[in-house]
Amino acid sequence: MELSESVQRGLQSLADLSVFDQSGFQVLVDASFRSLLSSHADPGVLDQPEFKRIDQILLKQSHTAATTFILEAVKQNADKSTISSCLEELTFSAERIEIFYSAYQKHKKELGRLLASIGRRAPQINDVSWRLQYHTKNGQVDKVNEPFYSISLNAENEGSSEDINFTCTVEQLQDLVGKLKDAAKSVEKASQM
Amino acid sequence: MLLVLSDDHKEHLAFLPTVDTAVVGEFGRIALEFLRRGSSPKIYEGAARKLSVPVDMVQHGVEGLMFLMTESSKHMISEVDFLDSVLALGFGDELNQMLLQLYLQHHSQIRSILSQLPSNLPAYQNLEWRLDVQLASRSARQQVIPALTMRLLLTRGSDSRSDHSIRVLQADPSTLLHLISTLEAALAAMKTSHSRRILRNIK
Amino acid sequence: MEEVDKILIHALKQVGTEVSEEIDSVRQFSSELIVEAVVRCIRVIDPGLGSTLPTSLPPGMSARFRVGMSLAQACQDIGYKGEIGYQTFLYSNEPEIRSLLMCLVEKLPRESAETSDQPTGKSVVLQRAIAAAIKAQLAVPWLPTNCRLPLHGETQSPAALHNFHVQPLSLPNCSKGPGKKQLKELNDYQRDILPPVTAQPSHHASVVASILEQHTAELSAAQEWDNEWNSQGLLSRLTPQEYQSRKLTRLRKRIEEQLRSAALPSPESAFGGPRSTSDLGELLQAFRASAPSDHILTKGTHFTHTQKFTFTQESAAVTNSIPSRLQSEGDSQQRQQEELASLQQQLQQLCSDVNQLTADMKHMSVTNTQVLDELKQREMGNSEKEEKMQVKKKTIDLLPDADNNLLKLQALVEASAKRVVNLASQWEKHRAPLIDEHRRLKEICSNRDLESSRKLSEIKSLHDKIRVSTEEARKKEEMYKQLVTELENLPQDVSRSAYTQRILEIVSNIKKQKEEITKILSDTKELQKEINSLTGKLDRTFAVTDELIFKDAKKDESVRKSYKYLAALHENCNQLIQTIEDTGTILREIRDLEEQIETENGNKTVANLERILDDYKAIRQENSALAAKVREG
Repeated sequence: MELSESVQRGLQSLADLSVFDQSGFQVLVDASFRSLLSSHADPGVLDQPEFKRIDQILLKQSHTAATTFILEAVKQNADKSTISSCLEELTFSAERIEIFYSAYQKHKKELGRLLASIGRRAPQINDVSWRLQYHTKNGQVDKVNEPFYSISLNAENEGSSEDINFTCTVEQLQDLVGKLKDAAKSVEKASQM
Repeated sequence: MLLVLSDDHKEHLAFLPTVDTAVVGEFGRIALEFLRRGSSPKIYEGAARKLSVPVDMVQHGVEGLMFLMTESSKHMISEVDFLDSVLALGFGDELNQMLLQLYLQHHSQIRSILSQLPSNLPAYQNLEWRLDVQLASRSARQQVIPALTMRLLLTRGSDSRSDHSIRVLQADPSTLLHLISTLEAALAAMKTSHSRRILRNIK
Repeated sequence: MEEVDKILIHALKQVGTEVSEEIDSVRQFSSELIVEAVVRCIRVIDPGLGSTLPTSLPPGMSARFRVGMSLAQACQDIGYKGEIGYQTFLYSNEPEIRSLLMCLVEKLPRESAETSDQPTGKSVVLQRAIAAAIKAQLAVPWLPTNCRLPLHGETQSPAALHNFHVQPLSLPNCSKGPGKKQLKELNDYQRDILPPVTAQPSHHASVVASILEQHTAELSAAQEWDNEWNSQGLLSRLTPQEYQSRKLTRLRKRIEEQLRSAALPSPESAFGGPRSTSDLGELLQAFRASAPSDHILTKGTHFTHTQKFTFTQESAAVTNSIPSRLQSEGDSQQRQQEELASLQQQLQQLCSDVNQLTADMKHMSVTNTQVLDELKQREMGNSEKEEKMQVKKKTIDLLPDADNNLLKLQALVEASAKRVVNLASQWEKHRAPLIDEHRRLKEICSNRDLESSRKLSEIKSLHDKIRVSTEEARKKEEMYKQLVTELENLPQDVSRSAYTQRILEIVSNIKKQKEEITKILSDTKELQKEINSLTGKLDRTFAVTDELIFKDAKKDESVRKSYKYLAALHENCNQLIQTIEDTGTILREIRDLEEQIETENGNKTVANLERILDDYKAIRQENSALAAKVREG
C-alpha cells in the first residue's frame, strides 16, 4: 500500500506517544471511523475532551491521515499482515496496531459497501409487473381481437426509480422469457466452475 | 353493416364512371400505393394531363377511393354489404365488381397498415444480454459483483418509419430469476380457462 | 497381494467402512464386511444408486438373497465387467472379492487428485471467486426493494449509487515542512476555523471520493517529481530546491514571453512608454490594467457572490427572528435588492477607481525609476567631463616652460618605460608558476567532474536497481500470498504420500524378484547346457566302447559277454534316466495340482458348499413356515 508523504507524517504523529496518549489514540481511531460512516458530516467530530491539549493542526493532520489510510486499506481490501506491516513501518506499537485493526475489522464490511456504492451503473431492474389485455377495437381499426401484454419494468438508477413500459404479443413475451431463461442458464453454468 | 357515404364523398367519387375502367383500376393501384407510402402530387398532375381533366378532380377521385377502401376495411364489412354500400353511388355493375375485387384483394393489407396508426406504447422488439462481472472500480479494488446486462430494443409505430429506442438495463441473478418466474406466470395466465373463455366469446 | 490389500483397506476406510485393526487382507473379510464396503463405495460413486442399498445384511435368508442380487446389479451398473451374482457376496471367494473391490476403489471419485491437476493460478482463483459470488446471489431469495435491508447489501447489488464526485479539500499544512514559514493568520485559520476533512465537502456522499482522490493526486505528484528528479534533476547537479526554483523562473519567463507576444499590440499603445518589467506579476498587473473592463467584471462578480451570500444569510436570520414581518418580506426584499444593486455599483466604481489608481501608481513609480536612472547617468557624464577638464588645465599650466618640461617629460617617459619592462619581466616570473597552478587546478577540477558524473551514473543505476528490486519484491510477495491461499484451499491429503511410498516399495520388491528370477533362469540354462554336454559325452564314449568291444567280441567269448553286459548297462542307464525325468514331470504335476488345491481351498468351496446347504435348509424352513402360515391363514 502506497501512502503519500503527508499521510505518512500524519500517521507518524498518531503513533507518537508524546502526542497521542493511549485513550487519545483510541478516541481518534473511533472518531475517524465514525466520521467516515456517519450519514451526515459532523464538524464537531474532533471536539473531544481527550484532544484538548493536542495541537489542533496536528490533530487535524492525524485525522486526515487516519481517514485516508482507512479508505485506502478498504479500497485495496488489505489484510491484517499488510496493515500491520504498513503501520509498523510508521513506528506504531503492536498494541496500537491491534487497536486499529480491531476497529478496522469491525467496520470493514460497512466501509466496503460504502466504497462499492460509488460508481456508475446501468439502471438496475428491481421488479416487473404485467397486465394481460385484450385488444378489441380502436379509432382506426375494428375487430382487432388479439391479446397482448403490457409489461412494466421497474428500474432504479442513482436512487431514483423509473418505469419502462412496453407492450408485447404472446409470441414476443415467449421470446423474451426464452432469452431470459437462456441468460439464467448461463449464469447458473458460470456458478458451477 | 352498410357504409353511409357523405354527399361530398359521393360527389368526389362521381368522377370515376366518367373514365375508362382501366383508368379506375389504375386509380385503385395508386390509392393503395399512397396508403402504403404516402401521396405525391406529381402523380396527380401526370394523370390529370393524360386525361385532360383538372388536377383537383383526379385527386378527389383517388382520395375518395382511398377513403372508401379504408372505411370498409376498418369495419371489415362483408362482400354483400360492400356491394350494397357501393350501390348507393349509382355506378355500373362492372365498376362495382371491380371495386369489390379491389376491396377483397387488399383489405387485409389495409387493415395491417391501419393497425399501426394508433399511437401505441413502445413494443418489445428484441433483447440482447451478456453476463458481466465487475471486478474493480475507482474506489474499490478486488470486487466481484456479477450482473446481467441487457439491451432492450423497443419500437414505436410501424416498421417502415419506426423509431427504435434502446434501453440498457442491469439485473442481479436473483432478480433475474424473479423476472423469469413472474413473466412465466404472465404466460400461464393466457392459458387459464378465464382468458380462454374471453378469447372464445369476444369475436 | 498384501500391498494391494493394504491399499484397498485404506481406501475403504476413507470411504467410511469400519474395518477393524486385525483385518489386514481381503481373505479375512466376512460377508457383512464385504457388503458394507461395497455399498459404501457405491454410495460414494453414485449416490442415487447407493442410497437404496442397506449397509448391513438382513437376518432373513431370502432377504439376504435379494440384497445380494441388487448389489450385484448395482455393481454391474457401475461398470464391473467380471462375473458377479448374489453368490459373490454371500459365499465370497478371495480373488473375486479382491477384483471387485479393486474395480470399485478405482471408480471412486478422486477429487483431490483432480484439483491438484488443475492449472492453478490467478485466473483460476478469480474464476472460483466469481462462481462463488454468483452462487451466493442465486441462493438469495428475491425481495422487493423496500424490504431490502442493508444486510443484503453483500449479495444483492447496492441500489443507491453515487457518482465519484470529487470536491477539493483543504488540508492543514505541516508546520514541520523544511524551510517553510507560514503566515500566522493561516496558522490561526487552520487551528481554529478549518473543519476536519470529513466535514468539508458540501455533500456527504463525496467525502470518500474526495479523500481518496486527494491521496491519489498527492501520490502521483510525488511519483512524477521522483521521475523527473531521477531523469533530469540529478544530472543538473542542483539541490532539489534550487532545481525547483530554476524551473519556476524558466516557466515564468516562458509564460511572460507568450503573454507579451500575445498582448503586444494593445498594451503598448494603451500603456505607452518603454517598459522594463521583468516580473511576471508586474506584467500581469499591466495586462489587467490594459483591459480594465474585463478585470472589473470578474472582480465584481466575485464580490457580488460573497455579498449575496452574506446578504441572504442575514435576511434569513431576520425573517427567522421576526416572523411578523413576513408580509412585508417582498417589499423589503425589493428594497434591499435595489439597495444592494446600488451598493454593488458603488463598489464596482470604487474598485475600478482603486485599480486605476494602482495602475497609475505603478506607472509613476516606473517613470520615477527611469528618471532616477537618467539622473545618475548624467552625473556620471558630469564627473567624467570634470576629469578631462582637469587634465587639460594641467597641460595648459605646463605650456610656458615647454623645452624643459619636454625633457623632463621624456625622462619620465623613459623611466616609466623601463619600469614597465621591469614590471613585465617580474610579471613573467610570477605568471609561469601561476599558470602551472591554474593548469593543475583545472586538471583536478576535470577529474572531479569525471568522478562526479561517474558517481551520478552509479546513483542512477542504483536507483534503477532499487526500483527493479522493489518491483520484484512486490511481485514475489503477491505470488507468496497467492500460493498461501492456494495452499489453504488445497484439501489436506495425506494418503498421497503413503500411496507413493507403497508404490515405490512394490516397485523395489518387483525389481528384486525379477533379479532372482533371472538368476534362476541362468542357473537352469547352465544346468541344461551341462546336461547336454554330459549326454553328448556319454553317447560318444558309449559308441567308442561299443565299437571296441564289438570288434573283440567276435573273437573272444568273455568279451562277447562283457559286450552284452555293456549293452544291458547302457539300456538300464537309459531306463534310469528316463525314470528320473518321469519323476521330475510327475513332481511338477504334483506341484501344479497342489497349487490347484490351494486355490480351490482359497475359494472356500467346501465351507461355502456347507453354508449353501445350511442356507438352503434355512430357506426351506422359511418357506415351510410361510406355507404353514398360509395354511393357517
